[in-house]
Amino acid sequence: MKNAEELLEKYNAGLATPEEKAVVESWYLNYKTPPSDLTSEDLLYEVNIGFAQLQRQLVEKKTVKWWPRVAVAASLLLCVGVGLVWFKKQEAKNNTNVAVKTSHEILPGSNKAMLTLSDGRKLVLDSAENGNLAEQQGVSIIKHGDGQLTYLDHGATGNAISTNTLETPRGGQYQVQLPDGTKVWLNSASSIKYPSHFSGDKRMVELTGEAYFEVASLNLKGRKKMPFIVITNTLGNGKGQQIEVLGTHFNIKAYSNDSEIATTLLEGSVKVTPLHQPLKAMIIKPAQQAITSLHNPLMIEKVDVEEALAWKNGYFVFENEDIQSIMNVLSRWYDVDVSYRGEITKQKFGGAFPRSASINDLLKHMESFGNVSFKVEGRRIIVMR
Amino acid sequence: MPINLFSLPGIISLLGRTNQMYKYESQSNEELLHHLRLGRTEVMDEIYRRFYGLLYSHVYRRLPDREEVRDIIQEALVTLWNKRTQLAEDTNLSSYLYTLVRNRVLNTYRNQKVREAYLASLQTFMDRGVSLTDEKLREKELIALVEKEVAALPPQMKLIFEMSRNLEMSHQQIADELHISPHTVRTQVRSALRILRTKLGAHIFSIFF
Repeated sequence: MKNAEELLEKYNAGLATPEEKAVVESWYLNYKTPPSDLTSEDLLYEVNIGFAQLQRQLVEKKTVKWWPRVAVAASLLLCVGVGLVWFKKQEAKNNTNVAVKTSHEILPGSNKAMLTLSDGRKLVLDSAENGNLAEQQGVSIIKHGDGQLTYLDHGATGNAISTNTLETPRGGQYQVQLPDGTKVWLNSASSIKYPSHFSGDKRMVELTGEAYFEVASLNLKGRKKMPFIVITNTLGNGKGQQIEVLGTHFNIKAYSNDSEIATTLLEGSVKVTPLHQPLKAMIIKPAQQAITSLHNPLMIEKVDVEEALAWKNGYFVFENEDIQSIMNVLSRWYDVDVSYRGEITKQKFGGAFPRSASINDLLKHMESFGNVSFKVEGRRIIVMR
Repeated sequence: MPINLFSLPGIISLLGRTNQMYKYESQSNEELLHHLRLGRTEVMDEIYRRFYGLLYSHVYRRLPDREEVRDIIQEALVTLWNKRTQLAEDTNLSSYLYTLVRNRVLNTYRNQKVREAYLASLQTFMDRGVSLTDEKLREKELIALVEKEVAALPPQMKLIFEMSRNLEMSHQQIADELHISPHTVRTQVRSALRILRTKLGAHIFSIFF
């Protein structure tokens, strides 16, 4: 069976030769499918719900593209949910001086990451050529596309664990497909640690920072599913949370300078366990977010998943956030340091921006609408009133 | 159980525009592609109506997991929209969509519902050492394969799909043979459709045409 599986893996990774492509595609044409058990009613039902779903998706895409026309704000409000405020406009006319001056150009983030292999070798992925980067005990690590890494397992054996770490700097992001087919999108200033081959009865990875997971469902012998576990120890002194899933889509935000860990579920179900209160574990459902923190009990709230996933889809969405939390996000994506001069504004901000926007435009925008001004000195942004 | 299609969101265009519903209904796939490349958003409504049922039954037979099928087709349609400006003028819309969908089906082979069947079948196919066809031919076969499966569609949908294809042909033929403007052809086709709609009932048409 190895052969067919390997071929499909290569095909899916876009690495098949023309002959191999011909084999897979010709087979597809010849594949005998079972007769459909889908009724007319089922199909009509699907056609109808699919229409609404596509409508939502296209509205979302369109919004991002039309930025920054103000009309967009209105349609984005629709897709991000009620309550999003387009930069609360206050009487800030005395703030007309635009203090943004740059000497060093600050660029938005891009696909950058470093991979550390089990033998300690470090590979800088943004400068590496596409293709096979390394072989580890029957697993190839392949760089392809723009900012993507794939682990191809062609018969890894044994239980020897070789741990790999993928790490993005500030201003970086990267995608990796783990050897079990699980896809991970890593946001900036984040790192994920995983074995190059999953064995035993569970799959364990460790995350710091933010990542979106699409976990592939994997069977153990005898129909039992192999759990996928993400550990985040970012709450200080080795404290954190563990989540356990069988195969679903979710986002985890766990930066070590945040006092909480946010887990947002898109599909399936996830069991969230605060490691300091293991008996208080809870199961969350799609469109719910679990907040783990040291000093409050595990909290579950209903959220807009579009907002939690905005970063992966290429934009920032802020909903009534204070200036510090917005600046934290900007500092990670634009690789800048932030300091505050004088009293820090209590004003809350909201809005949406493409992550490809220039930081100057973004700051100017906030200055013109909010009670705040910025000064850029090299790679430092000073926030003033 | 009867389903009242008229109460469903067919009235509202995918991107929130109205009154555009019937604009593209009588156009050929080539014309749809032309408008798509120009970024005319309403054209997605028509592409949806024309292809969704067909794609759904095609994928479902290869991957009997309704949620997964939904995701695959949604993703394919969103990709089509996002790539609209990069599409070559002579792109074959059906073939392009079917290919997007096929690649996604193959990508889900890890799904436990199909994994064993796929691998066993592909292995047998590889071991048999059959002769392979070239890419152009495979593309044609893929169109034939998907459209042949129209047989699996519910009878009314099947009728509509086949009519749409026939109308597309006659549209072309009329333009060529009678040397009349495409506008006239369109008007004629549209009135033909109006008649058919009365005959078949407005419900189905509000979604599929």
